[in-house]
Amino acid sequence: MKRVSLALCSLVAALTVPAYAADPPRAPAPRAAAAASAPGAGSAQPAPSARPGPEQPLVAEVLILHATNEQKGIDPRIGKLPELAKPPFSNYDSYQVVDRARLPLKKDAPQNQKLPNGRTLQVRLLDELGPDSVRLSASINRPSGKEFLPLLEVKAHVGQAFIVAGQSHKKGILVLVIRVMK
Amino acid sequence: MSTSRERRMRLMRYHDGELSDADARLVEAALEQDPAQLEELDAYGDLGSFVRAWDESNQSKVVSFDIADSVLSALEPPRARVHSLLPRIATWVSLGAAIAAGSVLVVRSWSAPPVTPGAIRSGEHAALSGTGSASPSASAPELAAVLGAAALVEEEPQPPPPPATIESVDFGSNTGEVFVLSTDSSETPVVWMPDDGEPDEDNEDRSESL
Repeated sequence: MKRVSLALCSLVAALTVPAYAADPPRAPAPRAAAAASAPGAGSAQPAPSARPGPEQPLVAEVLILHATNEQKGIDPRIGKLPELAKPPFSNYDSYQVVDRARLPLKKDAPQNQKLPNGRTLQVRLLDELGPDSVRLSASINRPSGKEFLPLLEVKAHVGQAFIVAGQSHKKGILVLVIRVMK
Repeated sequence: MSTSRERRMRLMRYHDGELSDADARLVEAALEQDPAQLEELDAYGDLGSFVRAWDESNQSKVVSFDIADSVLSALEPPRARVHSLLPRIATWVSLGAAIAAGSVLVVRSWSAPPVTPGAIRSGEHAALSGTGSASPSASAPELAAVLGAAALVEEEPQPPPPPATIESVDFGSNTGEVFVLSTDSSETPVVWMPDDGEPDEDNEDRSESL
C-alpha cells in the first residue's frame, strides 16, 4: 500500500506541477529582438512596438530618393516602402537611393542635410512628447537663402515617417522620406 | 436399547476400569459373543498407549493439547497455500500510476506554450500574481488557465500608435498639398510640393558631389 500511495502522490504532483517549470529559460522575445536589431535600415516600416533603450538618442533618418520614369525599377536598398506603389508615387516607375543620412535630433540644435538639387533640408527637434513620441520641424531652403518650404511641423512616434516630395531634379523629382528613429 | 455410541462409550469405560461390577460382567458377556467388540477393545488399548506416549514426549512443549486438532491434522491432507492477490494488484497499480505520471510530465513539457520570463510585462506579472499561479498548491486547471491567459496576452498585438500627423505647414510663396497615404501597415503623411518651374539661382547638378 505504501507503493500505491507513493505512485498516486507522484501522479498528483505531475498533474499539478506547472509545465513551464520543466522548460529551460529561453531567449528574449524574438519580436523585440528583431525590432531592436533592424531599426529600419532596409525596412520602411519597423515594428511600432520597438522600444530601444532610453539612452539611445533620437535621430531623423532621411532617405533621399530620385523618382524617374527611366524604367530602372525600384532600388532594393529602399527596402519595403509600400507608399511608392500608390499614387502619386506610382506615376514614376524608377526609384533610386541618392543619399541616406541620420541627423541627431536635439533641441535648439537644427541639423542640416544637403540635397542633390543644392537645397538644404533642415530638421529640428521641437519637443519630446513621450519616450517614443516627438514633435519636430523641417524646412527646405534654396542656396540663395530663400525658403522653398519655410516650415513643416510634424508629430511622430519612433518608427513613423513622413514624406516630402515634388522637387524637380534630373528629369524626375526628389522624394524625401524622413523617419524618427532611436 | 443401546445404541452403538452407548456401546462404544461403555466399552471405553470398561477399558479404563470405570464400570461397576455388574456392568463389567455385561460387557464381558458381550465380548464373548461378539469378537468385533473384542478387537475394538484391543484398539482402544493401542490408542491409549499411543496417547500416553505422545503426551509424555510433548508434555514439556505443548501447554494445551487438542486431540481433535491433532487427529484432523493427521487425517486431512495439507491445504494448498493461498497467496493474496492484493500485493500483486498494488504493484501493478503503482507501476501504472508511475508511468502515467511520467507521461503527463513529458506531454506537458512538450505542449506547454513558451512563456519567457523577460516577455512578461509588469501588468502581466500583476495579473499572474493576482491569480496565485506561483503557489505550488494551485490546481492543474487553474495553472492551465493562467498559462493560457499569459500566452494570449503575449500573442496579442499591441495597438499601433496613432500615425504621424502634420501639425502645420507653411508653403511660403509656393503651392503644395498635404495628404495621407494609407497602406496595409501604416498611414504616412505626405507633403507634395512641385517646383514652381523657376530654377534656383545656382541650380546646378550637385548629385555627383554628394
